[in-house]
Amino acid sequence: MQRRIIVFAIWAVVLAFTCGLIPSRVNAAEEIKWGVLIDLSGPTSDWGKNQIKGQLDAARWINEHGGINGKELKLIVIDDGYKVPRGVAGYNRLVDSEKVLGLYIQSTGTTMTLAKKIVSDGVATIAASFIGVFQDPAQYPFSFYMSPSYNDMARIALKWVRTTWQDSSRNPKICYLYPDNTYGRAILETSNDYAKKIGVEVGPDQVINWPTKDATVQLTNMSRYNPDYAYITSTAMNGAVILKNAKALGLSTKFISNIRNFEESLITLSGGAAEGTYGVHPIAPYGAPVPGMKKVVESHEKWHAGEEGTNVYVEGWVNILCVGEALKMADKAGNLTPAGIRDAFEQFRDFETGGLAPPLTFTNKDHRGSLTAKIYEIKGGKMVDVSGWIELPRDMEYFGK
Amino acid sequence: MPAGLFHESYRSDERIFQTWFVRSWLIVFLLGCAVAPWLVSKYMLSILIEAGIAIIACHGLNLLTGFTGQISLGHAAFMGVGAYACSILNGQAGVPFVPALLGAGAVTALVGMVFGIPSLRLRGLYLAMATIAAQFIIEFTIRRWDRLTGGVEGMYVEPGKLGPFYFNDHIHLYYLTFILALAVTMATKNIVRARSGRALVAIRDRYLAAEVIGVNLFKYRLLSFAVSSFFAGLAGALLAQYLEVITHESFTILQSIDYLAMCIIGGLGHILGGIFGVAFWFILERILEVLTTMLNSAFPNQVTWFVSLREIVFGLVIILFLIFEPDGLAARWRTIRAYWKLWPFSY
Repeated sequence: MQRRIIVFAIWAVVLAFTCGLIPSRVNAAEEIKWGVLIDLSGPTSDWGKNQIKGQLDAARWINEHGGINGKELKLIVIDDGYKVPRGVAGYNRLVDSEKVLGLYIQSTGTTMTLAKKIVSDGVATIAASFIGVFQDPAQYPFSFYMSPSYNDMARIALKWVRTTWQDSSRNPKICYLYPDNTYGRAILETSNDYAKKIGVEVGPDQVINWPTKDATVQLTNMSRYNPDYAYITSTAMNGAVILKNAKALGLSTKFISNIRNFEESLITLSGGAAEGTYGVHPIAPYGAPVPGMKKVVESHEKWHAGEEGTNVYVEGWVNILCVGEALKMADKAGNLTPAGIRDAFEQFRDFETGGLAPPLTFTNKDHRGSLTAKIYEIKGGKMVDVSGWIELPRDMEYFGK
Repeated sequence: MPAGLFHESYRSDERIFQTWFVRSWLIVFLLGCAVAPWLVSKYMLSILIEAGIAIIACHGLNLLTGFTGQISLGHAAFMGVGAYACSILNGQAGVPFVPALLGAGAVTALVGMVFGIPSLRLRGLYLAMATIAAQFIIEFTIRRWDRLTGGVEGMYVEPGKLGPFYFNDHIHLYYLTFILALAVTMATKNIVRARSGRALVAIRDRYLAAEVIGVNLFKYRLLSFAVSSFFAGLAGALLAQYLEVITHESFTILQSIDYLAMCIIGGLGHILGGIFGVAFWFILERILEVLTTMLNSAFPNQVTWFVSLREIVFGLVIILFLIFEPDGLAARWRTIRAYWKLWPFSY
């Protein structure tokens, strides 16, 4: 008898879940729902976990400081495991079932797959994959991100290489290391063009696929060309292998990591091999002396005592602070809809996050939030800036590429 | 319900639906499926489409792995071939949608047969490795054949149309998937209960004995690869219609493993296995989704703990099935049915 009751209870709970009988929200009218489609269990999960931590803390902080004009900002998190079909299913759920006003999408594959659907559904999106084409509102009117594109950051790195180059007898030489996917190949065209223009010689590309177990072959190939710099497009987990192999080979090439490669775990995973390498990043590292960092550090110490703060965590904060601002503006205008959020974003003029990110500007013709980043060097296991803000001109030459 | 079921001829013994009881329930089920688009939400409809596509793919895999005993870890890649073939035929070559769909199946069958050739020499784990190779070779080809597949950028899929139906409308796509899933189920059932099916099972159970009694091993192994890939091609073409954009990242080895897991849960070597496995998988996924979302909202600080719940539960389910129900849900279904049929005199 006892067993039957237990079995019955289990079935009742299962049934209740599937039918959605258990009410998950009480005061639905006072909530603003924002979706987060992120990888928390797949190959980029270490990154995703820090990102979501930052986003949730930022949302909590906003809610504790007045919310969205008194309304509660609620993040609905769905893990897509870096699988495209699961990402699409998650998107359908967020948009059709949860009726979110907008969402954050992490993986490049899912973003590319959904790009057209997002336009026809008209949902505001914050992408984590900074592909340049998403900055053209003529094609993607609902797409925003709070950072320069991968292309622009690669150009910023090239500009830095050129301007710091001392030897007047020859031009600096650079090679690109990247995985063979959309993300990896995004920068090639514009960077090659730009490098030619400013006088940086580009050597043979080295394709280093994920998951990276060994990059010795590619690095040996690269060393024949003997470039002064190598630009790594990867993730910290994979990039650490490249740096370790490079150290073992004793290469004199200086490595520059892109934004997804340059995070704290690169330092720990590479076991010291990251020391002295560079990275290009628009977001202030955790604990940097900028006014906006105070609340970030305080929140982290309060809610995640004993854990390590990372620049990905700060990036999560920046994303949600900007979303919060756009929601506030849309709410004030009485137009709390995806189109209203788009209009609100497009009114950003040098929006400041207290130095966490460079000032952001969006217009209805141009969704390039900023074209500014800094070069950092890893010194003593810390990220130390070695340049001021490097800004590219807001011209249309490489726009939307 | 009749008190007993007595067959007096092989014809009646091999009949698919043996009693009016089964037939009437089946009709109710099919009617339910037919009216579902009007009853469920937009989100549920997209889940049903996905499930239908998975059923088609699983029947293909079940025929190959369950009935012929050839493990394939490249099923998602074959779906990729179908997806790209259909989209290229329909979008770029201007072939009407239905011939393009069948053409995609045929192209995939051809590719499947090429990768099936090693099956003459390779068995078991070694064949599994050969199919992993197929997975990676196909993925690489999709990535690098830029001019045809759009390379890493992916490719927009032209919505298929057939008369007044446009398959970027999810209701229309649902019916297409539903009809094809039904057709594929019937086709698989008929292959399995005919001469070819018996040959496949003979090869699976003891290939040497099968050869001795006159089964052409190579022919039937290749046939099973071809049919399996044909179904994979259809499923892939439908998935392309559903996703609207396809990239090489939509057809990874992780997908292949998921399909294999669905077949194992449902029951390898049972027609119902493909359907039960998919149903179980999708229902469990929805339950876990609701559960994790609720836990996430209740404890937003521990969000990174709960997301692993899905992976843990799925891993656990597969292990438990392999230990306690190696024949899958289909076998359990049979037991339950027999129990009710014979109750209260179950001796």
